[in-house]
Amino acid sequence: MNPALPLFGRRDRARIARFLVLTLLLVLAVPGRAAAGANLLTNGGLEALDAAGFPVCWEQSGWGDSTHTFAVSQTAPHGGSNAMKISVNSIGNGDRKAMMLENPSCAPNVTPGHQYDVSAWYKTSTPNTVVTMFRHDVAQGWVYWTDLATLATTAAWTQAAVRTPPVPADTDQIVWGVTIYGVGVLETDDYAMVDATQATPGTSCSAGAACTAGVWQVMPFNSPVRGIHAVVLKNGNVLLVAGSGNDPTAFAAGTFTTAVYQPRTGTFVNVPTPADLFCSGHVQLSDGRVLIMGGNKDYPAADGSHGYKGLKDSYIFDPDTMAYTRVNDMTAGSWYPSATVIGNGDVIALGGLGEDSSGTVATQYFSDDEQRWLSLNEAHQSWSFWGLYPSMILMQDGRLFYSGSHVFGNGLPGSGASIYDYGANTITPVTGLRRKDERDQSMSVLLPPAQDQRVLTIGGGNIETNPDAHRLTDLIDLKQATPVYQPGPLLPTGTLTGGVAQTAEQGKMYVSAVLLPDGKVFETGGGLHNRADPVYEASMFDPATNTFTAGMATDPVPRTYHSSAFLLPDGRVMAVGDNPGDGSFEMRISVYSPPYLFQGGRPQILGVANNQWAYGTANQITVDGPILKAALIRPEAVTHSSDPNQRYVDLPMTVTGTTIGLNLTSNPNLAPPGWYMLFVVGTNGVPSVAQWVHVG
Amino acid sequence: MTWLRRTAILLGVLGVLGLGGWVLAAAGYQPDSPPAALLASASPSVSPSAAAPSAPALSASAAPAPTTRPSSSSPAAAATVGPFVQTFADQPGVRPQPALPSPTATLPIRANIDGCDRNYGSVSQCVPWIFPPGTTDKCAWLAAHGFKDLPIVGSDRQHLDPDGNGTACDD
Repeated sequence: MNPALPLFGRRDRARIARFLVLTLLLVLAVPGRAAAGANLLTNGGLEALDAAGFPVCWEQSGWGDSTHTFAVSQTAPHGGSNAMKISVNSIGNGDRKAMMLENPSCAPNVTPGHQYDVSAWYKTSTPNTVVTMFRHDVAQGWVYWTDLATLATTAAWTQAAVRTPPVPADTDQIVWGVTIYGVGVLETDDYAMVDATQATPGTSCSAGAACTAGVWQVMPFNSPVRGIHAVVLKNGNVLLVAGSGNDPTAFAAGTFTTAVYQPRTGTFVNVPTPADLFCSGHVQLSDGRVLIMGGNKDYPAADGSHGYKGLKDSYIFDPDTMAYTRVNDMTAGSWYPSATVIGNGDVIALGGLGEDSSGTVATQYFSDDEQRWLSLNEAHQSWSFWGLYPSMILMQDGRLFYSGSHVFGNGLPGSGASIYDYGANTITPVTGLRRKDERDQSMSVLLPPAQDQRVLTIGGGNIETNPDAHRLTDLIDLKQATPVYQPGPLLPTGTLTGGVAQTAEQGKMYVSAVLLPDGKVFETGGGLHNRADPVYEASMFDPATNTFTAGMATDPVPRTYHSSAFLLPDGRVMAVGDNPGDGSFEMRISVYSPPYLFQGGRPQILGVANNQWAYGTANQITVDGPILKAALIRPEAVTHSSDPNQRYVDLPMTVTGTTIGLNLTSNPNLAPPGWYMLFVVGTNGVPSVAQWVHVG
Repeated sequence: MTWLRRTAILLGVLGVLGLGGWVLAAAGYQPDSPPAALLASASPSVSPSAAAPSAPALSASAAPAPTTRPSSSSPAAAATVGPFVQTFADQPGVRPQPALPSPTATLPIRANIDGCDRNYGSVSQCVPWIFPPGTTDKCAWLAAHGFKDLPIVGSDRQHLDPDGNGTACDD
């Protein structure tokens, strides 16, 4: 019997192998196509219409002398249900186009130096059709940028696609449209815009490093005042208070300064300042005006006979009139006082230095109803010294949690943290805070959401003993019967001047921690020693996992003593100030765009049924698409790494399509009365621009 | 070749072509033009279920009966429902510190609470009261941190003026 023949002979196997190799080479030779980046446009398909029937985030634009009509056409659009139809019947000069709205909510964010692929489907009966672009210059506002491509006439849907030049410096947003400037009919649909930079592996983002790290932009203008105190106002502007600005010469001359920064236009308004509000405390009242308390009565004597002295003066800044009005004096001088708004809208101030440089032990109480500071006898007095800028965070039951974060001082008695019950006039210690005497200019935040009642305290140092600032973070859950600080994750390390890497033990003081609309905490800035040695490091803390994501983009400007960072209503973070030991002051302003701004179009809050929200109510809003979550964020009022009122209040949703009921807590201690930024976050993780609502 | 071999080779070729197609598809290839691919990404990528209410992190809802604390926790006048407050952080067994007696004297705070040595420079400057660890040459440290022409306005506590001319670190 012959042995069985193999299925393939040697020659056949060689042929098959050659074929397989050639095929494999052919497959590998086909150029790979990167995953398409996220469409950065909001409502690029023109499908969401506003109350007037025009596409959301679009406007009728153009100039000159023409007879024309704009119409949303449902007749054979390229995709979906709608297309834009512009008919020009006669024209003397000028043009017409449907343009993306030139506002922070609708205009796509861009990164200077990046190029973008823009495209739209179109039909036009006139060759006088062109793609036109405008850019938002952070110094000049909206300006014309360029025309990209002239489009040929076509009666069938045709895609126009063109890549922009590199985005010029100082540009943060662009808008564009298809322009018709001759007699004819132009139809457009399905606009798209993606960053032409290589997409980050595993994501749809194509903004390069900004996809995961975000990006900083240093503004091309300086602050006109030393930005030592920063308060985000109910209208989206930013109050920057310097007073004498830690400048004894200005103090001697009686030169005190304040400016209001208007982010929408990149402009400042100087405000007459009635006293040296340097070293004051500040908090937004329930009506959105800002209560300023105390300040600097005098600088230290060169002979050491006295230190800083605190003012008793108090003022209210009105964002509408941009002016200060004096209220009655506080009961004691207050240099570096805390300021916490409580559930009934009143304000409690603790700590600071008095008019004679002694420690202020009075509990000072501002009545929101009476618009005055109560006398010593009218307020409960514990006569305790709380130190300087003690971080006093309102708990859900109305008590105050002293987190241990403070400014200056060394070796204060106690465990470093406590719970203060103003009503019962008692203080109970809280344990577990590590290195409680090295928490000078650490920062504490009530983690998102406020309902979870957890506090994170980050880093810190000691300006007297001047050790290296440390990396420790501690977490506490105030829901526990006996809350005790627990060790948190180590702060990521960064670099020092000259790019020198920090050691494994080195962290930072002068920390800024900013609550973001997506429920994370952005931590930035800081320094290693007393008014020296900036640390370039930024990270993102996720309260859901109790972890830091290292490697966020770092502010190129040093931000140590007298620096602050805070959330703007457009979802970006602004940083100001720096006052190193040589007495200089940093006047540059930086703005950080978090990674979420590069993940696609922004959700739109199309309407808020009523912007006056009562506790325990459902408040209706309409949006343009699926929403993942919604929250209120109290605008910051920050100085010296201290803003105990910063909070993120979760708004559980009742969803009926694009109509959403947002359920506000019934507990005013979770969301003290005042104006809040309402954010919604789309299912792509991108937050909306804030709408302002009033709580209480 | 026998018919069996021919059939096997044909099946092999088809398999390879199928594999190639699969690789192309996995690489994200689409027969459309690149801009069309861009537009494809513009379509909603969210399932309707994503719009369902999120689960709020309201641990408060699992807590015991509400209580309120006096005074500072009272709701604002505009509130239409009572505040739902939890009995968290009651600190059982922790002894509260009562209020201190009304002070009869002021609480002294050291003049250089900001950690600055006021013997040197202007008040806006801050020569460290204690230099950072590892500093072996204070003048070099000061120079590296931008201090120039530093007058001695008090005593030369840190011995920065060995020639006694009233200016620190100018030797």
